Amino acid sequence: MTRSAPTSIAPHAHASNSSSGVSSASFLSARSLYKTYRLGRVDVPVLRGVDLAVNRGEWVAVLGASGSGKSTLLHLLGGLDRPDAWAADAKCRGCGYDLAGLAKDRAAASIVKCPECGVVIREQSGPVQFDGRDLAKLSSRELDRYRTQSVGFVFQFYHLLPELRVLENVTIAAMVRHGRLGFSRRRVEVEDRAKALLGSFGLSHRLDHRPAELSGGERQRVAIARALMNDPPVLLADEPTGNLDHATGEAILDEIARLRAAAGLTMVMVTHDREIAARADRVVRLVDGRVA
Amino acid sequence: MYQSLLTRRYLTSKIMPLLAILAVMLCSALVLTTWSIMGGFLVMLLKIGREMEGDVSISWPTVGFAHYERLIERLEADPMIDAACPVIETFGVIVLPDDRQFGVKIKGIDERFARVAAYEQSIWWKPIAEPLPKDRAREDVRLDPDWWVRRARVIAGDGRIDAAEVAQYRPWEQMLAEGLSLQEKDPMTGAVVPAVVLGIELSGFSARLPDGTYAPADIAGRRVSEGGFAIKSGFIPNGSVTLTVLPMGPSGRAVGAVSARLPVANEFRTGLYEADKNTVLIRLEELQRMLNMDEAERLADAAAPDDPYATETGPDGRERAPVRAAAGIEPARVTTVLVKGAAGTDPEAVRARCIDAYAAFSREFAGRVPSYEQMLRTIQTWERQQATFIGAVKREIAMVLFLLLFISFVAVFLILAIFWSMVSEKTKDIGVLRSIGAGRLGVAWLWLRYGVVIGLSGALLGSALAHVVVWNINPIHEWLGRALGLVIWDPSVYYFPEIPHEVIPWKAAVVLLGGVTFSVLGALIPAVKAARMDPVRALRFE
Repeated sequence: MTRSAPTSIAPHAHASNSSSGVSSASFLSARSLYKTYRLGRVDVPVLRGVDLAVNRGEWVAVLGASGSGKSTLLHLLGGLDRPDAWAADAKCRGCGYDLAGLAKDRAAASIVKCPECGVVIREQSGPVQFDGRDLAKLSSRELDRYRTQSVGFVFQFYHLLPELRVLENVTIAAMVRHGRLGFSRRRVEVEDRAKALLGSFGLSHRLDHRPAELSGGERQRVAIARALMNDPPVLLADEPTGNLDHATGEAILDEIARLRAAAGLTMVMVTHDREIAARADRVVRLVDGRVA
Repeated sequence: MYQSLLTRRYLTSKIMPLLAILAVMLCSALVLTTWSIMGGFLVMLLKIGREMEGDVSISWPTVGFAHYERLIERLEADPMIDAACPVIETFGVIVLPDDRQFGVKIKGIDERFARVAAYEQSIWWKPIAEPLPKDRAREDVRLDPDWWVRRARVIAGDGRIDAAEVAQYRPWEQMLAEGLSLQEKDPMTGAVVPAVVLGIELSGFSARLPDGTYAPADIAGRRVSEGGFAIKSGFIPNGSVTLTVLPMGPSGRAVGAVSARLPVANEFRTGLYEADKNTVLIRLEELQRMLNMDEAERLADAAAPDDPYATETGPDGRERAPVRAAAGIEPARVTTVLVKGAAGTDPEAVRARCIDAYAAFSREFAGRVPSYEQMLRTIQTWERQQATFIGAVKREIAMVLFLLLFISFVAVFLILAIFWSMVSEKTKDIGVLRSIGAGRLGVAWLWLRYGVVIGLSGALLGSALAHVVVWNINPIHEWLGRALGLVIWDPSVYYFPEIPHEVIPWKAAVVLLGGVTFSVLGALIPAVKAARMDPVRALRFE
């Protein structure tokens, strides 16, 4: 027994530079993505059946107003959060029971049983796939590895660790990836890469500085270096220039574009700025949790 | 790896972990200091007890038992026994040169006592080459071989003390020899007379100084019959005391008091305040004589007199009651034989050998000495004799440690509060770590490891602090006394003139382990909180 796509979802994406739609050959994809947060006693649906497909090497900009679910989508793509396994407005096909209440409890379950009639509804696949792998079927440890090796996050507010120096803020990603012994073996190699990354951002003279001693643009460059430290194929950027002045933001975007071209990165960038979005290969508009 | 980096950085950049370390340090230092001092009290008690009383005592109080030399011979034939000596223990009254009187424990000993107990070491007035550890100013009069000459001159020059008293001043070597033999040469007549050695705290004439030395008092007042006070030297080894004892008959009744005026040959210091305050050592033969326990003629039993008023004429021509004929020799008696085991032997094993030796001895002198069965209860190690007291001390130590452990448990909650606050403060960092792939276990280990480092640092510092405090507890106490008038350790209450101190490595290790355990316990809940934190919420935390 399989579940059909909810009728209220519009499974298409707005394309600016290329065609839209879900492709089974996509590098990173989301299908019928639902996410509901509970605020106090109220369930707040954030994503209401988002379909998205990103091809290898593609730069997709997700454009949307504040609260449209852009960051949530990014977190789900990056394995930082798990989507609802069940649509918030779905009903059991056996008895019509409203399954919305299950949404928050049945995170990523592949088998759901209707509490009313007992009809077992099997999910065909998880809603987020990376390189053909279903993120919903990954264990916590595998998901941690996915975040370490396959994606790099860049946040609007940089999120650097204030106690660490610039070089340490970058190498910490490699420390997490390789563990104590692995890092000790690769220390020189890792530090060389971190220095090279920071050098490419013009931060060679800032290696021993603390984040508090850097400008906003420099901090964001360090954050990008950290995201790229483990050489991930996907970069997920959440308003990377949102906290910077226009000129600095432009410079950062130029550097991101340069890196993407050099490394063949697949990139999903969330922004509310049309001008920035226009630099992407394709723009997906998110309105009220749905792709418009 | 990232855990150790962050632990280092959090430790050096925040005040809160330093407060947590301080809390663990103080708790560890408190427990270890208390444990070391109370444990040191017990260890010193047992050590001094064994040093002064030997490993085992075989005693038959009051009346004593005869043929003890044969028992000693049997005991010393055993390879597990190093030496044995006869002793008489009784009670009496001492009258000091200034007419103060005290009830004291009187111990009759001979030269063999020094083989069983650390008697020579305990004799105080003797020549010494090195000052006591705390006597940095070298004020100990015993370091000066000519002190007694100068002292005699000063007193003679003062003009208030007669020449006879000045003549009593003797070199340290002579005082030591006389202390060991409990005999003194009368300076006026040259005759060797029995003498006593007093516990150094008994007279109170020699004042104990903070550096552990004793300063002989210059003068002491003595009431004279004409009224007023006479000036007298307070250096007690120059004086004499009056000792009164009560000889007991076979029925245990006193047969009259016997007093003797005896010169003081020296003073001794065991370190056990009770012994130093209440004990007088006297030569064994002298005490045997005073207590009628010396060798004597045994008289024939008087037949029922036909004429209770019968008389006979004595050698002097005078009339007297009929004299009973001698019927043999009554051997000398002692109340106790002290036994010292060979080096490294267990006192209980020595006791077992003493029981065997006494069994053979009682068979040899059946009917003339207390039977083996009677004596079984009185052949005891010093620890057994003091079992009630030692047991109470042990229980007291356990109870105090339990209470301190309970108090130290507060540190767990203190660390919990500090860690909870730090985890809340570092919520965003946790979100960042999760975003770069750190797992829940890794994040939990970050905080648990942090707890281990704080516990280890605090416990190590606490242990170091405890060592410093314990090693210097007496100077600290003396400083408190001088600066604040605070005297916590009163030697008359606590047995020892000085606060005992001993830090045993395994105790420090236990405290160290406890400090780490408490810290990890305190860090556990915040660590679980951090691990279970939703990374998305953590990143959005403001």
